[in-house]
Amino acid sequence: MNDVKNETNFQNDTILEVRNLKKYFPIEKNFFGKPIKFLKAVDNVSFKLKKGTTIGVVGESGCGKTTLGRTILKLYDADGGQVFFEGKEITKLSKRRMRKLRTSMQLIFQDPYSSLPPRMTIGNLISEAVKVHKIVPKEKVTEYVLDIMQKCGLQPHYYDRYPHEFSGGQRQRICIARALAVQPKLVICDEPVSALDVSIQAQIINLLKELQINDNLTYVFISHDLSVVKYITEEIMVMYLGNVMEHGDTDEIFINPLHPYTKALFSAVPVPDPDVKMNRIILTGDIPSPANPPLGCKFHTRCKECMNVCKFIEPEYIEALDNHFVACHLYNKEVMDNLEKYDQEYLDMMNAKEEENEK
Amino acid sequence: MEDMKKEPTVDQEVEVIEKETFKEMSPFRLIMRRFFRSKLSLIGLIMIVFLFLFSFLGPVIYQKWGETEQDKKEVVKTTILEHKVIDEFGNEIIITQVLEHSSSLNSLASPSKDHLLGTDADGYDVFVRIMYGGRISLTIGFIVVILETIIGIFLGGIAGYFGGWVDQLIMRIVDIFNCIPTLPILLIASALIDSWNLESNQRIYVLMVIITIFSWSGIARMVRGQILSLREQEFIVATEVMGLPTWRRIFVHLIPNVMPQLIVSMTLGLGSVILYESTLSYLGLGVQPPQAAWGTMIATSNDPQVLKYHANMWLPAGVMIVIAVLGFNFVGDGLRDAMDPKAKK
Amino acid sequence: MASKNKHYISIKESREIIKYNIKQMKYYESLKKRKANQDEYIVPMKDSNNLIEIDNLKTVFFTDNGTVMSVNGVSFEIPKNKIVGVVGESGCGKSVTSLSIMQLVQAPQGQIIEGEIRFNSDSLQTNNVNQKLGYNIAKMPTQEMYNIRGKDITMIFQEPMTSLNPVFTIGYQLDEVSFVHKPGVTKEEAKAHSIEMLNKVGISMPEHVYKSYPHELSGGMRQRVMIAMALAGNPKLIIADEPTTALDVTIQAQILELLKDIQKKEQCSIMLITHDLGVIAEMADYVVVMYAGKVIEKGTAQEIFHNPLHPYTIGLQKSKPLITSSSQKPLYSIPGQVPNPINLPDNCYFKGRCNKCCEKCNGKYPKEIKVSDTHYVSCYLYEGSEE
Repeated sequence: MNDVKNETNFQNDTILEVRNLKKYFPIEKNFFGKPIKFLKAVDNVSFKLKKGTTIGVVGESGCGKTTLGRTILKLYDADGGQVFFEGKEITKLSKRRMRKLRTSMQLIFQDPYSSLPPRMTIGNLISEAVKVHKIVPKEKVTEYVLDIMQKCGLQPHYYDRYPHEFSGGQRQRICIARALAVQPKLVICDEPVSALDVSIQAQIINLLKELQINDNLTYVFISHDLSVVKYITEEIMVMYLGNVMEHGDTDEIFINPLHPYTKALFSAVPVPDPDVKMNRIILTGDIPSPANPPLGCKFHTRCKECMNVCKFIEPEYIEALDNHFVACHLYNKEVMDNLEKYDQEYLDMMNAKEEENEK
Repeated sequence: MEDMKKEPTVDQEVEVIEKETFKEMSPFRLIMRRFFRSKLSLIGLIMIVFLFLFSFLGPVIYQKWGETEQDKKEVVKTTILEHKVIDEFGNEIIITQVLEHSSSLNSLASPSKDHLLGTDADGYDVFVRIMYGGRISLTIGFIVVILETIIGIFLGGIAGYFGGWVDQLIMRIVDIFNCIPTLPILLIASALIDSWNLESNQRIYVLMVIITIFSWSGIARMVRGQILSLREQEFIVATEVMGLPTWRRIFVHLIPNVMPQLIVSMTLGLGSVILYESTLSYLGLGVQPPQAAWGTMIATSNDPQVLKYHANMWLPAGVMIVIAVLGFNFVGDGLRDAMDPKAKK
Repeated sequence: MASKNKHYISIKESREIIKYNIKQMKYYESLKKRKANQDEYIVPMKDSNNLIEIDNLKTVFFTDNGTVMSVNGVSFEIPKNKIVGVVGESGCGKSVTSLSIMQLVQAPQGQIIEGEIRFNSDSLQTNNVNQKLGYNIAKMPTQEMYNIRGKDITMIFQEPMTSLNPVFTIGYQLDEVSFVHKPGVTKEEAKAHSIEMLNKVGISMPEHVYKSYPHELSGGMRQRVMIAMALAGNPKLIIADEPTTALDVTIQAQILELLKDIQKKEQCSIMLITHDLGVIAEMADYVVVMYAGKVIEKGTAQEIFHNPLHPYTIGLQKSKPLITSSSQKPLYSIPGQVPNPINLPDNCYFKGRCNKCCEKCNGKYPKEIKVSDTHYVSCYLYEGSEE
């Protein structure tokens, strides 16, 4: 079955396709250095992305959203699955061939303070990659960089200054300018505004949107801030402990969230209006450690609608509604029809365990 | 109240004119300010400047005596000898014997106008020899520190950047160098050098190489650690995203960011190399007489007579060593405070 | 070359600043060390229902780049049994205000140079003209402050990871608080009290947590422990400085719920400092909006959210996309950067970024205008509309 799938049914407008991507970090090794226990940071993630659109990846800390971004960029080697960029599989590319592709895939970091080299002037750090990849002829580099800077709202006299002289918002503009200077097609934004002040956040979001329209950019927008994600994205993917819980169009998901986790996540966002008293779903308990995820559905320890079947069978990732995917037993007809059977199975399992313990 | 909700004026496009209400210190001035915040680093700097002027400019200005120029003035010397004798009744009698003799070598002279710190047993001027000793110590110090830094950056950089088995190999070599007891090895090496019958100049070169071999491991370890932590920093990850070639990532982005720590450890290293050289010279393994070195000058105090009556022969050299080591340590500490990006205030 | 580096401070200017700073720091440090008479720091309260009254507070930092006016004439009240939210962007002085209340401003660079912070303490009676007396924290000697700090006024910090000592168990650190505040407490009593506190903050297995080390707990749990610790001295005021910023949304909801609950049960006031308008709307009874060291608008939560007056408050609310709306218009954004409060000219500090700027704004910094009993705003637009 996999053989058929390996042939890319590449459509012209699909820029990025991720298939069953896996990234496991070894956390325990045996005596011979062979890993025996893994942290499944990204487990079986698949999605397709059309040119000029934005997908939002949301989730809480430890859900693997940052790892997903970096694995797509091949900063981490994938442990399984494939990533296709413009129809080309990049998961198996050599380092040297990947380097040529780097310019078309860029990353914007969360922390504008640590992502800029401290000992380089703004002009130098933006023009560095332009010169290395010979994006414009040598004599036109300065002109080109100033042009990019102006596009990103940076004044020309910043050219000779150092990053530490700027505030967070301006640094993030510098980061964006640097990423855009190499003329990328896909930009992965890893929490680009969460370290910034509210009034500056709006500036950066508007800038990102404006640039997307002008240059026909595609974004993978990683964030924990749902209101920002809702504003900027067309599609949303909700992650929890390395798994995709729900995936669909932004408007659809916000109007009709299916997964209990998505529902709780949305209702937990505080609304800036003292009169709105939402009947909030407050999740009890903490996020389990990603190194020790619970058996079955990873969310069952905090789920309000947890059934016995959730405790030992991992839910399948199914298309519950049109173009709206969810990984939850509640929407799997086959499971819901046979609940009694699964309850019995669970009880048997628990009994067997108890007996074992008694022994 | 109700009409208040209407916007009193029309929203206008805001043209933000950026005016700065205050100025910042330039990066260089900031480092200077942090450096001079501690009085000790200023004292250290003065010590080092004094040391340099004294050792390198001193002999040019004060040309009364050469490094190995004996004072052949005819002098009358008195030697006082004390004898303890016990007579037949058990009383202790001290007999003082004063010997006067003329000599054609003005040795063991006390400080005077002619010899600011007197002369030693061979009739050399102590003051001048301290200057020349300083030259040797500082030169050896600098060359050794530069050599060990080059080796340290190279090996530490490779280990830190590539990781894996390369890292394992280099770090195990570092471990081996760290656990070899240095002094016995140096003693053996010196004995070997003795058997080669080298000239005193060549001997110094060999000495430098030996000290370097035994001191690069610390720097390599530091560079590796720094590079390992820098590699995780986002601005280094960014260089990979940018698709920059490996050499550029190492030499343009990684190494310059290790520089501050390197400068600090080089400065601190200078003090310890000077101490090393002096120790070896004191044991008779380093710089050989008649060439001047602080260590050999202190070694004259092995003679109890000199220790007791001629403090001018060994004390000044000791003071110079203390000044040198303290000075470099103070400056190194000051630099550490000044260049540490984490120390904000 | 010289023109290129014009934006850097010159050696001469720098020297003057350093000289001035040393003189000022010496002066204010000497004021702190003198023996204060009780009359000097016991003052009448304006209203006995207020727990804290901050009056024209000025806290500055003497830095190498000049004097930073972190808190520049701030006045507001914290009534008893209410939650007051202080909102503003980074560097607006909201944290420094709270540190001033605790007398924890980093000396000698940071100094309270003017103003009063009146704390309505139960240990003080009314004076002969029937005014309730309170302590003026701004002038209180450090020795006396120990009786208030940690007991009557406590603080919860943003980063629960670093505010607990990693080498001691949670139990040890909780017991310690009891030992400090209730001399003569036995070990068993302290432990019982600690476990009661852990129960209060909704920790399901207090005995287990009591024996754990901080690193064994998750961020949300640690923040609960911090709250338990703050409650140990039966405080009148809890200052929560960005208590949920480092936490995930679902955990944030838990902690906010807990804080509200505790405020009701313990009958204390909370000063909630945050940059998140959503959190403020959810929690606060009164809201204080700060910008560049000044209070630009204050009022009840209803007033601030339904009838915001200052252009900054309006802009701040408009610039956050709403989860409930699905507009695709470009977000409203306040242009420019947050100013650094050094040598700011005596105009409205928001002038350069304001979209309703008019002729009058070139004048002095606008006075505080009373719009209703609780609603105050500092903006020329509302001049003449006082009540």
